[in-house]
Amino acid sequence: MNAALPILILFFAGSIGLGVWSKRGKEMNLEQWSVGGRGFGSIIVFLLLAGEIYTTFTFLGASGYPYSNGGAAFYILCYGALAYVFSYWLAPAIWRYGSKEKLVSQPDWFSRKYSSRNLSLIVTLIGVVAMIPYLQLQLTGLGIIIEETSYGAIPRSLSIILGGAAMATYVVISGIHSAAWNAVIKDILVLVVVVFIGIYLPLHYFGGIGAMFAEVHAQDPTFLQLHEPVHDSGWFITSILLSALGFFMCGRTTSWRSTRASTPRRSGGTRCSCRSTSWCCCSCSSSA
Amino acid sequence: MRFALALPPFIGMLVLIPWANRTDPFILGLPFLLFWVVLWVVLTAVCMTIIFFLDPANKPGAVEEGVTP
Repeated sequence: MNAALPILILFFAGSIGLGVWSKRGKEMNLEQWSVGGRGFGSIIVFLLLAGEIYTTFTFLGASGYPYSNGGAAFYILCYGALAYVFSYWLAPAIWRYGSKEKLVSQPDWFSRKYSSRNLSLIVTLIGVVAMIPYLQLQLTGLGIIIEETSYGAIPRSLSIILGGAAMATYVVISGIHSAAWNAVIKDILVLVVVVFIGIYLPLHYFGGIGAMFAEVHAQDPTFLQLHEPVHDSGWFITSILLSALGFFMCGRTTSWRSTRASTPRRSGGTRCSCRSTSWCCCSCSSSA
Repeated sequence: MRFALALPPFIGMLVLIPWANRTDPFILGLPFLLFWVVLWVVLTAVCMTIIFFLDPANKPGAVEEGVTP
């Protein structure tokens, strides 16, 4: 028994409790479950999306990658920005049609829009296939984090099973609402931890962020740029392009658009336009 | 015009990368490639903001087709 265990258990119980609580007072039907009755406000949508993007990758992948590969990791900053440029035109159109036709999922959308069940089947299959490595990444990350933070008291496989079970429980009960509310908590925590570590570690060990880069540069002059053999400019460009396009792949980011709620305008202005949600795969990312 | 404004981010973060791939000079304490990439993330937001305000769909009172309130 160590001090980390009660904290882990608290968060474990808290995430289930919050997930179940988020259903309060709502008549559950498919539309409520999958797209929040098309009634989410812009802030919660913003958090849901942030929850889909900032996951265990933020802690493990995005920190381990620069440690071993240096400058190549900067691609992580680029692809999201470029993907959202596409989204500006793509998303409102998808949302408009999804909202008009009362669609609740990505395969739904394709099957209605193009009147083709086969197309919708292909989309579903691609979505599931794209989701598997993504899920594996998230759950492995979850396992590593729990194993480390519990000082080995909770083995990796057990934490994956428990985490998966908790997530399945609240998603089945509350659907997208649980994912959204857990994303709120998780986003705040991730942000606090990332900002703290990002500022504190360089200050503590090197006296500043600039000083840290200078030190790395002194140790290895090419480390902070793209370098041969694997990570040259071509690798960088194609990785960004692929990731930016793949942003729309497994329904986790595409789905929210088909499901935004009532207000038609693309803008903020006085009325908020952005009503949305995504499917359970997004809840995986927000809980993991 | 609006579509043209969406191009600079792609030029900055894709086309110009071979040129920007250098460590020196350090700017604001960041190696040049990192500075370049961060700069373009910010500039992408600037471009999209300008597009947003130019877009007739976002004018106050604009009605988008095909949506029931």
